[in-house]
Amino acid sequence: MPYLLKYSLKRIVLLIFTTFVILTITFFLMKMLPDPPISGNNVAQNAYCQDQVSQGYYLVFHTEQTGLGSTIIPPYTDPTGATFFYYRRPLIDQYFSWLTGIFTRWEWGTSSVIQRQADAIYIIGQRLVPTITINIFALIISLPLGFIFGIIAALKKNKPTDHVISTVVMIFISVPSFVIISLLMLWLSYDTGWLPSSWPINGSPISAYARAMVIPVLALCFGTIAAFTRYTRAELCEVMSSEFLLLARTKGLTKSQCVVRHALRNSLVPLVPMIIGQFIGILGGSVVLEQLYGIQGIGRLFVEAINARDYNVLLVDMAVFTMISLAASLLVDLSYGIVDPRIRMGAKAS
Amino acid sequence: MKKSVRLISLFAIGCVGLLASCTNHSGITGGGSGSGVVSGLRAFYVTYKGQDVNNGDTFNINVGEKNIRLACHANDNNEDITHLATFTSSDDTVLSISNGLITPLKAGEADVTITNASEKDFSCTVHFVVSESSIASGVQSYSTVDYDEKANILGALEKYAVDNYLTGITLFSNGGYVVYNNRYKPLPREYVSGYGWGTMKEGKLDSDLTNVPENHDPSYYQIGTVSVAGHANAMDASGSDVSDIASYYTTAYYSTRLNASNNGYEWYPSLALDERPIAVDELGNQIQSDYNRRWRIHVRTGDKAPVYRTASTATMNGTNLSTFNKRSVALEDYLTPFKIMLTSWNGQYRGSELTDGVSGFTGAASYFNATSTNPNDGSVVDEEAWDNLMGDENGQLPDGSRGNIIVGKDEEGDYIEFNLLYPCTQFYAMYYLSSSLYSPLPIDFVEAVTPSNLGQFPTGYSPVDTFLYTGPYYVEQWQNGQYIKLTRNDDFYEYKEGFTMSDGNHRDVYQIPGFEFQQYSQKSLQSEFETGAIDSYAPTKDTLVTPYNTTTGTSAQGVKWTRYQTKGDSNFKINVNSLTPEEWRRRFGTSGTVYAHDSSETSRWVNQREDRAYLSDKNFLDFLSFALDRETICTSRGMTPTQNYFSDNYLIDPETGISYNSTDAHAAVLADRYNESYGYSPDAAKRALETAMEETIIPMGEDGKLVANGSGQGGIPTNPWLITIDMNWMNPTDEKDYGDVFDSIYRIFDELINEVYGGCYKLHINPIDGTSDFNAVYDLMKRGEFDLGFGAVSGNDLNPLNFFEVMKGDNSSGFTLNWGPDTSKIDSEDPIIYDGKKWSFDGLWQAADSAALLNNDGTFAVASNVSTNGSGSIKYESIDSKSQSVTYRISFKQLVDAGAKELSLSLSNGDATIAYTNEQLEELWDSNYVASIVVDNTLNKTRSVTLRVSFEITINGADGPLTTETSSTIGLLSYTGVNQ
Repeated sequence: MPYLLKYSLKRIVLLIFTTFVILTITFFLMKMLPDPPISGNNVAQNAYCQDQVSQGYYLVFHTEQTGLGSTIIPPYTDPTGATFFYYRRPLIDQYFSWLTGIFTRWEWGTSSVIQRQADAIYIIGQRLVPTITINIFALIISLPLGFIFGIIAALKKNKPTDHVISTVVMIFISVPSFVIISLLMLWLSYDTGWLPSSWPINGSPISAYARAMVIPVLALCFGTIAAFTRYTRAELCEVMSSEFLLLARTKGLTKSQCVVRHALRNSLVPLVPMIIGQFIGILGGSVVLEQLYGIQGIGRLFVEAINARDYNVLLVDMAVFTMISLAASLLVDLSYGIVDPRIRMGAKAS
Repeated sequence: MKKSVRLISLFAIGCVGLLASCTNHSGITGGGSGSGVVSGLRAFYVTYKGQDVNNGDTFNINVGEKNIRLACHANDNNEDITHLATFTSSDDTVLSISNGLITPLKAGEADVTITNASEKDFSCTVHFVVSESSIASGVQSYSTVDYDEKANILGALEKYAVDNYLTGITLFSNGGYVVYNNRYKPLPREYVSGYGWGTMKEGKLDSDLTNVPENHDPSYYQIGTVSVAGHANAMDASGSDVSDIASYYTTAYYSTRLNASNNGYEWYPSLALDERPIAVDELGNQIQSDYNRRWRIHVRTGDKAPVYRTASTATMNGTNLSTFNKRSVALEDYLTPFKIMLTSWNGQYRGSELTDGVSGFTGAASYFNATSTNPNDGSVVDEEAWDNLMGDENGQLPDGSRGNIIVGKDEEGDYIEFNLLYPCTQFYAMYYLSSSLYSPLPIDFVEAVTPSNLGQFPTGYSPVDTFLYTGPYYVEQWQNGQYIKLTRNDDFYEYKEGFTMSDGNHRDVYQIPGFEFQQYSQKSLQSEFETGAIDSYAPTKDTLVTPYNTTTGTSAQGVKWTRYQTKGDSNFKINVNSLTPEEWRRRFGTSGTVYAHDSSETSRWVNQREDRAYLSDKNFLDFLSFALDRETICTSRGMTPTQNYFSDNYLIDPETGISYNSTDAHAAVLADRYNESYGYSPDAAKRALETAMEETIIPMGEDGKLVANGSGQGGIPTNPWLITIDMNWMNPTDEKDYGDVFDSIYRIFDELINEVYGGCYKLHINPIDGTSDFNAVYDLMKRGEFDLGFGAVSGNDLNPLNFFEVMKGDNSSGFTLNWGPDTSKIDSEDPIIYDGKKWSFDGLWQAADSAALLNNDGTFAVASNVSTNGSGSIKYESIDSKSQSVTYRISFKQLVDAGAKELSLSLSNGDATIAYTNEQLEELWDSNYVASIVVDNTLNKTRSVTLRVSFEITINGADGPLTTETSSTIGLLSYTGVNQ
């Protein structure tokens, strides 16, 4: 299906371009924020500024300059009497310096605060696995459970089962995931001791990671399951009341045959894009969870990088989040064709 | 019946009086009950400045002198019962006395009579001769006085600092409670101030923890912490988190341990083989001296040497790091930390601390200055400069004199030798040289890892790889921000040898096989402790109410615990910015002497100082201080209320363990500050507030400087004037945890305002939350960007006088948090009087700490640039474009007049140096000691040039006159700088 391949390539190029645009906007927005006070005494401040100079973000002169704004820190005079005046490099210069590093050397810079001297890409690489693992597991568990509960609720519409499911859905949609994880930790870790209360350290056996994943995955799941249940129920109820299904029933198909062969498939189409939204929602929700559960993931890293104004790490983290979300979006679009043969992404209208 | 009771009591009194008259204490004798505390009926003795006073003694004091206090102590138990005595002055115009505190008013003589309140037979008379004081000038030094005198000096300084709120407003001591899992029982019965519970060294665990996280070792001591240290290199750490953990894996020449009775601590040699450092002369011969600059320590090498440990198997820059594992420490390794820190291109944060101050080293500043430019050839030390300035492999400098930090061998073995900047006692030499920063390292390891990566997390590595460990534990695993595992080094010599205590018993140490630090959120620490995941927990205010309101208990999960009380080692304060707008501008403005702000920030903060001028009014600050109900604040939190600036572990006599807070000198500081109620006096607070209202706040309102609470006409009960103060907290939860400290302040304020001022004023203390970085609030305070700030600074607890440098207004310590009057000048209204002289705060501190060279007006004598030409802030005398040089007129008059000798001068930009010897200077200067100094073209590479005038001063040492060297610096411009 060459049109699908062509479409995919086009979408990948668009993905890269979108990522680039988002990172550019993030770069400029972050850099336009006022500089936070640089902590420490003047020696420490000077060391930080020297690091920023080497990263291409600051300029240093031995004399006061005009036209570059005010100095970032008061002029620092070292023991030899040499004076250093630090200025912000013009934003455009910083931006092109950053881009040049990426495109010519695949260098995304080093961390200046979180893990000094370490490559930002390396730090992300260390932290990516736990986040992705937890999020994927959360999605894998949420999807089928959400569908199942939604189907049950739709089939038992307006019956007690439906009411119970709808009420539970309302509760879990309202309660944020970080509240759920706190409750789960209290119950499953501290009260009963069944599960660990924090993420295991490096070198722990797989079983330890498996047990440690239960609480964060559950915490991420509940809201997602509730959302899928609600939408599945709504879509299925609408499809179930359509005329073609009535025809199917009058043709002699059983209710379950109607639901499985016809109703479900039709109701899936609007649900598929929901999956991306939920995945991105899970990804975003894990930022807080990772802090509470001590997971060294990219969500927690994102918060640390913002607080520390560790720009290089922040931008790489942002790039990862963006590309994951866009890639998920692409995959879902491509899956439309499987769900509904009438939809072929990239096909020309006949 | 009553009559018989009276008779019996009188008989008892007579018996006790008879017994009391046989005591050694003279002065007040002859009466007192034999038992119990019966007000006014106890025999007592009198002390003055810590010494017993005899009836008829004469003392000389000076007008304006503070801290003169006669204290009465009960004969039976030495309790301070000054408040029970009556003091009268024979001439109130010469001196007045209240509750033992003497205020000399004018020159003359007067007697002070102390009597018991109800027994006229008790009396003691002390004669005082009051003189006018002169201004301290010339060479002044009290660095060799005994500890009693140091206490008196510190008392004089502390009195000034407290009265002017340079010490802030103390709230409480950071002692409190800690609960331990019952598998750990501290060895000492009570917390040992300045040492702790001895967990690492003397601690033992009876069993394993039951519920440790995955991959943790249950036999290890588990520590739950909100933040884990960020790296392993204490030489490059600004906070205490790294240096605290470094004590586990580094060694020091001398260390401390629990004493044989487990009720205190004692010093002992660790890396050193000598009980104490040995004084040597400039030829390297051992001498008997209690006060010296040059000290030698024989160190462990050869078969006694410690070994390095590393768990690394990585290769870095071509070096297999595992080859360092179990390698013995060599003699030259002892020099490495000094070389790394002092080579300034290595960028180690703590390096500059070795270049000045009482623990600085001779020659270090010059070497530090000479190594600012990195040659980028991978070298971590400038060997040639080190040989020339610190000493070569033969221990000598180029002129044949002895080096400043050298290693060598004598008949007693291998040694390291130091030449300190200032002379000190043997005890302080031991103390200054006992830093874990000086733990040995092999230079080839540092070259392989590179100084910037030492102890850090460069790509692909962690502190497991990037540091070497010589201490009782080594790092086996370190996950950035999350987890650290320390495993016992079974090759550590102290572990193998144990301790032989003073009672002859042997003690095994380091019995805990390891420590694991795990990061948790603050909220989960209690749960982790109660489930048996961590070994200790510090209860909060709420959890002290329940469940930790008893000494022992069992958690719901079956974990048995015991609660212990800790003593504080740091007193938390509300730090105060009482700078006037002018002073703020001088110190923090665009040309600030402490820190420079840009013009918009300067305007902002100067305006705030003007709008909050009440914060510069001492009466208003007195109100805040006296209105704080510390006891109520602390009781609910299990903390100790205190007004003391120093916590009790600050020892004025470190050799015998006397706390400064126990001295008469300190008692005199707080004698007029209601110390019996921890400084709380609603009446005094109201009086102070009323004065502040009349003198400052009401005029501010009339000048339109106050803002009303709402819109419209202000200063009326429905729309009062706002008295706003910003309170900067340290942590995000501090407002919630400590916000109620201001309750009593609000209450007393409202009472007075409603009573006297019709409710037309309203106090508003605006809380500003802290951030996750607790250092942020300290940065604000150091830059003067606050009104009130919460925090504490702790430091040299064995030399509180030295630590008092943090009070100086020039922030020379780098840790000044409170800002008030200019401490470099004698306060005309309230001068410090000591030893018959008037002093500035800085002058007396400097004289007590080392030596001060003072002008006739009490300010420091310095070299000064008296040139008159040029439009910039640095004037010059002339410039020569042909030779590209600049000539300055430098005055040395202040230095010479004050007593400096053998002046010499160097001009340096780090690259090149021009030097003038004493003879050359004497030829150059005129009769007024003003010389023309040329900055020639050799220094044109940089804009700025430092002129350093070195000179000798002679002070009175313990063994006679002692000559020491010090310096004064001026910043100048090169020809390049002038023309830019």
